[in-house]
Amino acid sequence: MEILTKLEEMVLIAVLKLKNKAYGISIYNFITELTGKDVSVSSVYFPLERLVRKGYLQTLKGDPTPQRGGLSKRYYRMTKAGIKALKENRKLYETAWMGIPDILESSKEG
Amino acid sequence: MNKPPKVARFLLRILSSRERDEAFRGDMEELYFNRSEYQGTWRSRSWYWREVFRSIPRFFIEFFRWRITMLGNYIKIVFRNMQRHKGYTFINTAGIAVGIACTIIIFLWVQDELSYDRFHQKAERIYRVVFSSADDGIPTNANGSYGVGPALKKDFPEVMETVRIRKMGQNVKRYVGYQDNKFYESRFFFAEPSLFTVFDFPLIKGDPEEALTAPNSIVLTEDTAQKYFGKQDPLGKIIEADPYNDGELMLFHVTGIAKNVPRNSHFQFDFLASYSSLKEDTTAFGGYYQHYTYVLLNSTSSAQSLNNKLLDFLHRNWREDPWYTISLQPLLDIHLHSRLRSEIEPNGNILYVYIFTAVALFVLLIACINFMNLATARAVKRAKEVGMRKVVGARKNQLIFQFLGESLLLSFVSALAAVLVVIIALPQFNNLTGKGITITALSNPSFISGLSIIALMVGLLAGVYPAFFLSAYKPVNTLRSRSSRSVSGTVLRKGLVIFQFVLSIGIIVSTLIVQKQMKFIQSRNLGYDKEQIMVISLNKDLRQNYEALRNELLKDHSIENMATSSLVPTRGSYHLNLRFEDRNDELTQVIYEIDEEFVDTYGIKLLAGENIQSSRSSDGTAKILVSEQTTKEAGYTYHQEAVGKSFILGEIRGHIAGIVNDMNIYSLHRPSLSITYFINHISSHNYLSIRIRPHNFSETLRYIQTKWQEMIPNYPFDYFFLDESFEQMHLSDKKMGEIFSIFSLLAVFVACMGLFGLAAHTAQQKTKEIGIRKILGASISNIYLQLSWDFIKWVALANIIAWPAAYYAMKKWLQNFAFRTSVGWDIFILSAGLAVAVALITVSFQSLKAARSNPADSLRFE
Repeated sequence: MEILTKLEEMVLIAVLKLKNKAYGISIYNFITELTGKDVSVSSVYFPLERLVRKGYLQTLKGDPTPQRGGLSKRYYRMTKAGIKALKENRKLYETAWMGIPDILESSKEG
Repeated sequence: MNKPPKVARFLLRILSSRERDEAFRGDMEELYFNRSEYQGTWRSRSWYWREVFRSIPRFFIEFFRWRITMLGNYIKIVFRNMQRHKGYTFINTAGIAVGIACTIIIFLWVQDELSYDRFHQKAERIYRVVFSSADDGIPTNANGSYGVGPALKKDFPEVMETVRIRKMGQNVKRYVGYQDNKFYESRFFFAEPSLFTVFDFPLIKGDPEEALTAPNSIVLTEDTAQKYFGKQDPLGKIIEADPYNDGELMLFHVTGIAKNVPRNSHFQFDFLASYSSLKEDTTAFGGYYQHYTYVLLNSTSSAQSLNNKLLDFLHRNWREDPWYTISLQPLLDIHLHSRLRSEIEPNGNILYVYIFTAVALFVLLIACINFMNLATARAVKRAKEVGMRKVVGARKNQLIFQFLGESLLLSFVSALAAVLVVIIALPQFNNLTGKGITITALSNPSFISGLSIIALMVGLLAGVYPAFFLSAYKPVNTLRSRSSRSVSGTVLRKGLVIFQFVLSIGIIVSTLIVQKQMKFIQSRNLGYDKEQIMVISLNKDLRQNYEALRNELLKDHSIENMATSSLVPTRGSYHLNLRFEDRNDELTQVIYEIDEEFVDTYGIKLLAGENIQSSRSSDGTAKILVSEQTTKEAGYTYHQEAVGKSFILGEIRGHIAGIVNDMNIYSLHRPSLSITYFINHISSHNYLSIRIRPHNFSETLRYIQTKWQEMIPNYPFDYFFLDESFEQMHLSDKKMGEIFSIFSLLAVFVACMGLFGLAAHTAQQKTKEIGIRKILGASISNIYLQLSWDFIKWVALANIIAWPAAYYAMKKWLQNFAFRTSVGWDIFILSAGLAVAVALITVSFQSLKAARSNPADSLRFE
């Protein structure tokens, strides 16, 4: 299996949640809202591109609108491989985190 | 509608120019649009700008990531290609490596030649006073008279300092001794103290101001001091010497030790005695002696104006009708541009610098052509790759870069190999040229950058044509059928092969002519028999005991004859003017003072009149012999005419007793000089010449040495052979001939490697054709001839182009010699034969293989 970066993982989750409305801006908004950080717009495109290259995402061309200066949207959709990778990564993190919440809480009390 | 800022938008467009970035740009537009709805224009504009800037680093990284990935692919392909076609790779790399190695070696050699005398800090302002006895004022002599230097300094404020140097003769060796260390030395000079301020010859011990001031002081170089004094401190020691060779030993105080003279100095010394020790009048203006004058000017610019005032200077200081004129020659021009008489050391020649540079570049060019030819010839093989790359979206530029990159990689690898070759070949090259170029020269930064530039140029030169040629393929054509053969390439390829062979044949012809001239020099009749003549410098004891030694030595039958004389060939000359009483012209004569046996010992032939046993006739006038050349210059038609004629030679009056044949006393670069012989007492002689019979040579030598030690025990036994000395005079020509031969071999070798590659390629391409021909009944010889003829006709054509060029160039070179061999047809026929034979042998390997192959093998798979 391949370990995804945090950003890649988040982008995949965003695509999964946004379903058929997942394109650059909605993914960007999802991430900024979730993290509350001021991330650059361009920073989501490179993980997206990488994921497409790896075959975790597939793209669909949308219609151009005047607001977009006549340039078409690019929608992203999860592939089976993408879902599998996300699952595996989640499992990996859960395994890694196992037993840790208790320690964190007990340290809070103390 | 509100639009994003134009400049920022344009910038973004440049950054994200790929097709897939379109979505990103669209998203940016949309975000800006949304923002400008609820934020002010200014704030949304600044947001847009900020986002564009923030995206730059990522696009940058992306940009290079792709390049590097592609680069990896290109390199992979290069190595795969190299592996698959080991033969081609070897021909290319080896050829270019040899070419670059030649270039490096010649570059080092040229650099060394150009570095002569540049180590003097004031080099630019130092000039040598050169003398001209010709009417046109073109300098003839590096040496001259004594008085010019100080007078120049007195008359002209721009002359800051002068240095006078006195040498004891041309190629002579003089006795120097300290206790038991006694040697004959040739690099013995007298010099003024200003030598140390004008030139940069630093002293290790001693005071440069004082070392050469007092009479009878002497400065030695480190090595010389080591030779005479070993570990002792030389300062203050007294050495004896006989610089005038008159038997009166002079004593010298050692006052300084100089650093060894750098190899790249035109003035090489072992001993510098103080100028004030000289016995002769050093203010005189008349006469040419082995005496050199250097001046240090206040600025370079004053040289020209000074040159114009020099004739006037001679009128003022010497006489109204000076028989010589003087001019200034820049110090830095001496080594490569000066070819005067009586140079201190034999100089280099700028012509050779040009020739060798050209030849090295030719070899490199031939190697580059190999690369071009093989690359285009193999284009068919790579056409599929090109087509495939184009189909998957490679642009033409990318392909050009790919192929250029390949040739650059190859040329850089070859450059590294070339450095290895140079390191291995350098000692041999030094041997050949007598230079001391060290490997450290290779680590100097200018060399490394120079080499990179060469590699870059070679890579571009060799790769540019194949790159454009290959990248222009249309994918449809290359992928559709198996045999999309290009015809356009073959015309150029033929042209290039012809060009290669024009260069190599030109070099072969030149080499053959050089060789022929060298052989001519060696076998030319010099007017005397130079073989087996052993020459010894006379000294005081020898002059006294000569008769006894002579009688003793002649007892041995291996010694044919012996004679003493003031001069011997190859060892300088001095001149007097001779006038026949019935002629008006003064004829400059080389004066040989000889004894009765000289003519016989040297095998000089009497052409008319009679030999002389004494120069005194009964009536008190003189009898002399003159050379054929003298009678020619005097204007006599027959030798016989001159016999008995009265003459005036300086103060002497007399008549001509006989005419003898000409002798070449200098190199064959110079025409025969007219010589006058008269008999004089041994006290005016400097040399003893012994003619030895060739058999039992070493035994005879031992015999002479034993007798010497018995009878002349106080002087070391030192001798040289006339033929070796003569050969020494043509050493630079000989070296040049040898270097030339090596380069011509390399050039031909590299050209043949290319031919070999091409032949292999052609044979491979024609496999099917050959198979079908054989099935239809063609014989092996038919096919062999057909395949070979293709190449041979190019080489034959190349001959015709190369001949006139080589002929013209070599005619120029031969003009360097007064005596030259004829350039006959034989050389051209021979070179053509050689070239065709070598080409035929090269091609035959492939043609025969192809012709003998079984047609069943080549036709089976269709």
